[in-house]
Amino acid sequence: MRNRARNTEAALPRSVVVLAAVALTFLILPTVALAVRTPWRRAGVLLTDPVVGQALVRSLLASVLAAVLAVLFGVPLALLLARAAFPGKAVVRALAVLPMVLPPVVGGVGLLAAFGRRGIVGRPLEALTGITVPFTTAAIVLAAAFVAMPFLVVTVEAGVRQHDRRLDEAAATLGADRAMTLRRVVLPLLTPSLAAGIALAWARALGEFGATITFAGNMPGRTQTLPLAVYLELDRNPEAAYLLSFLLLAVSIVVLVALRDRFLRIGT
Amino acid sequence: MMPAAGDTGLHADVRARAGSFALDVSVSASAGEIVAVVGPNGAGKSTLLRVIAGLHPLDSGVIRLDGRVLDAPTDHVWVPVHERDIGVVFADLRLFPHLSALDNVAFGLRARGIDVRAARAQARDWLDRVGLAEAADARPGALSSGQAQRVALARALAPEPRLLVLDEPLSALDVATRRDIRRVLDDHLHAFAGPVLVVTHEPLEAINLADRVAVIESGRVVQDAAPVEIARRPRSPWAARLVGINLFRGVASDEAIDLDAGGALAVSHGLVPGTRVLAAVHPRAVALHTAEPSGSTRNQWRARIDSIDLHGSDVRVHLEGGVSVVAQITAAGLAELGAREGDAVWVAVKASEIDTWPA
Repeated sequence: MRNRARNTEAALPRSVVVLAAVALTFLILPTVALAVRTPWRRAGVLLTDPVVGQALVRSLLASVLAAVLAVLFGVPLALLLARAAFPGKAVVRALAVLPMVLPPVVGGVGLLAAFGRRGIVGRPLEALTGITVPFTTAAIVLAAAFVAMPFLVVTVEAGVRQHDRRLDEAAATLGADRAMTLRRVVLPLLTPSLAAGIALAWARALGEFGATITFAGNMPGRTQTLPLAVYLELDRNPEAAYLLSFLLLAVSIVVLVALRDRFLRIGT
Repeated sequence: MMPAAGDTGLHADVRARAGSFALDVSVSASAGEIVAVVGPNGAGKSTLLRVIAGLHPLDSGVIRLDGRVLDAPTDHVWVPVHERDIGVVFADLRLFPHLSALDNVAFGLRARGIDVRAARAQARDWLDRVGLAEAADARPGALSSGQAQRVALARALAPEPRLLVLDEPLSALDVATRRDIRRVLDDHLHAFAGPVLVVTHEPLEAINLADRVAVIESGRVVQDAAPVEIARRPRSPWAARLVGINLFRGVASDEAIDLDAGGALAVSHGLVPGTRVLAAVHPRAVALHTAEPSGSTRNQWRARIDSIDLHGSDVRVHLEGGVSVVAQITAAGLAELGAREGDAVWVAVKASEIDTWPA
């Protein structure tokens, strides 16, 4: 291994190594700069600022709820995409994972078109029940779920595809119906994929900005989430912005470490 | 679909396809009877088992267990796998990797609505019966191949199914473990109240274990008989080779048989001319000579030695040419013959040594 690694390194032209070093520096520098600029000594004071505190709590709550929604509806969708055969399945899958590549602000506009007061679902919903979704806490959750669920779906779907269906046959011969096989064989064996999917979806939900500001607005104390607060505080109170950014960064690092088997060991 | 009185055991009349392969067999087994399904690899044994368990579609025919119709395509009857009450020990075991040995065995009991504690207590009892009480908490990944096989057997037996089917239960084991598991199987299969179907490609295993042996070749049952009968009068070259005798098919003329594979054999008893017969020659009855035998032997021809292998203190000589047979002679006899692989020798078989029966 060692020799091979050395050979590969020796085989690369110097220009490649230099360019790679530039890329690495570029990717690492903001993280380091953030750590350097974060006003650690004033952290306590800044975090007790009611606007910041509320944004933090709101973000945690909304992202957890979004992750719960993603699991509740995303796992069945993943099972369906992995197991069921139906016409147009490729198109259905593409539409389901579209939010992963969609500009979040477009997602937000789409959510308004669907659930806004004049939206195709929002208008009858308001007429029938008086409920309006946009610019509420529910809107934050929906925006986060919209961008996060596809991450869970693709991760869990990959897990379902790897599932050994011979075990399902064994369960059936032992008297287990489909529901019991799903509950006691399929889902327990999906735990690693499910955990990875939840971590990815939650992290994506926590960081959501574009769809949130479009669909839920940015009202301090009402619909302002942590990423929105960071953006706003950058003008008003840069120290707080740095601190909050570092907080979000720490969350990302924790998620990345938790998923190390998936992302950090590729090719090693 | 009410169970008819007296209609117990398994009756399977199976026509099914697996790829380009067609299976067309009838197999039955009464309560307490162990039936071995043997045949060469790819003969359709495992497909038969999967059809009976409900894991592979039946094209036509009927599967009935204890009077209950499980599968009858023409009558649109199909009982799903989980309602068939058939215990399966898979060739690849298929233990649940995330459950302990105990919970693997308890799985089928849980599926029948027994609560966790009672199911675990019964499962512990089953593990104890297969001699694995100490491994109850181990995950399948931590078990030896023999232990895993015991867990698979206990798991299939625990829910007390109406029928037990085992697919190659010894094939994945090393020789020492095999002996061990054979004893465990012997105990538990004979103690099992319902019919037992054991699929294997090792006829000796089948002959030792089973009350009856069904030989399947190319998707058809070629013989369904008691083990002794299979050993004495095999009806297929595959079974004959495995029990170690030469078997020929042919058409009888008065006191001779014209073999399908070419050549003829004279026999010392009368046959019904024109009927199809099977003829068996024990390898010990095949004599080898360097020069043309001068005696009265009516069956003699020249052949080339294709190969020689050791068989205990004897050697088995595989001969090509004339009627291709295997001769079994002593090592001393071979030395006296002074022949090696590739050499030509004279082969002689006394007509009185040829056993025949209708094909």
